[in-house]
Amino acid sequence: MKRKVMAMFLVSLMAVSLLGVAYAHWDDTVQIEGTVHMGEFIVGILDIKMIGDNEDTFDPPKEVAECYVELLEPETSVHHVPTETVYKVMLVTTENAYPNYINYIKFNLKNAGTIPAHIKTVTITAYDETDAQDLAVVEVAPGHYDIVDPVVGAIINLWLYKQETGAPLESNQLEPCTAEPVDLVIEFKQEAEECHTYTYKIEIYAIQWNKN
Amino acid sequence: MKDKRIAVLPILLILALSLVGIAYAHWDDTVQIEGTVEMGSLTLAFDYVEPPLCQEYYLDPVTGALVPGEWLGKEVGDVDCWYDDLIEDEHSLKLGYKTLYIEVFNAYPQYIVHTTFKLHNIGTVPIKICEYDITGEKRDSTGALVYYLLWYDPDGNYIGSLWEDVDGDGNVDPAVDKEVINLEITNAVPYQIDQCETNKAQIDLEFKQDAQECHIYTIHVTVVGVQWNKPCP
Repeated sequence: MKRKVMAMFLVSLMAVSLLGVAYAHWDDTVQIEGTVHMGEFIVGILDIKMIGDNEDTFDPPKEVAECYVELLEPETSVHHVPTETVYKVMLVTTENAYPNYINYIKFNLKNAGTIPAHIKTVTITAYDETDAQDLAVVEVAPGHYDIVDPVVGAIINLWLYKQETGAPLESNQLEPCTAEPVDLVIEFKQEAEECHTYTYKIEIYAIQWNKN
Repeated sequence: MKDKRIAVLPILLILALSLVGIAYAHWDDTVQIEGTVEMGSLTLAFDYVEPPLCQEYYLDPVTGALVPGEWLGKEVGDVDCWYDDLIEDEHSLKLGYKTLYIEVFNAYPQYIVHTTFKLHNIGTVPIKICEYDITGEKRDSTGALVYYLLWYDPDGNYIGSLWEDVDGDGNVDPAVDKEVINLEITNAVPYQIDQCETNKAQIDLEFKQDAQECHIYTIHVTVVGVQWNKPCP
């Protein structure tokens, strides 16, 4: 009996030993550690370069109408070195306008982010506050729009184009940290009604350049 | 078995949405330009404050100068003038009149009437006074039309005369038509009146030999103004 107990002990020792051989191995690891610095997509109006009109060309020149431009809703890019503040809204106010009066506004549209931007659409809406009615907007040529009163016809000509080439903004790319000089021209036509207040909104919509 | 299938479905759905998410993912941004335009107003009127002034004259045969009143101090003819058609410019809220009436009673040859009036730009845009459009007609005592009057001003300086269009052809023909009223308007056009500004002017009438007795001559003078930066029509 004593011998049997001894044999069992030996067998179990061998078994454990065998198991130990089966698990024994060297090991090592490789790690991939990822850090993602996301880019920044921010397109806005950097500054106003010029606000003008055509009253100097009249005979005699007079200061009759006025145009004010205000930049609102600042947004500061984080990635731009140094940081850059652009504005999301440009407020244009024209007072005492009359037929043949033309406003010229030159501004810089800037891609203040780090991702190329593709200017996809320019959408214009307009409203006659005096008559409380929507005005139609017709694109008569690339970058050239007519704001049309349903009763009296076209009242405002509006152009929005790249200063350097005269090309429309749509379908253009804006590289990171690059400013595009833009011209906005507003001409009031014969059919514009006296003492009316018109409002218009131009929305420049940009998406990252590699997307449709 | 059925339970296992149901458990797999949400996983498939998440995978599908994830794939769709990758396909549409992009950043975008917008910039807005908001404009407000307040249109001005172009309103030419006769002055609300200062009424027109009309005065009769006669030509002194001795001195050759105009003298207020009538020859030998008589009260024969008479003249009255006034503004009518009151308006308010809705932009500037200034008042003015659209019509000047000059009424001459019992006129006779060489009876002279000068009327001073004041134009007022009650709008918010400068006005260029371009021209005076002068028409008229001759009527009999019953009011029936006899002839139209033609404006004759070969120099274009608004020192001219009105002619009865006897032959009805619309053109002054001295052989047929009759010169009945001398008319002169100051100031020389074109001239400008800035917004809120006034300009005093005068219209002079002198009745001539051929003006017919007991008839009524009606003269219409339209002052044509355009915004100052546009050419005159």
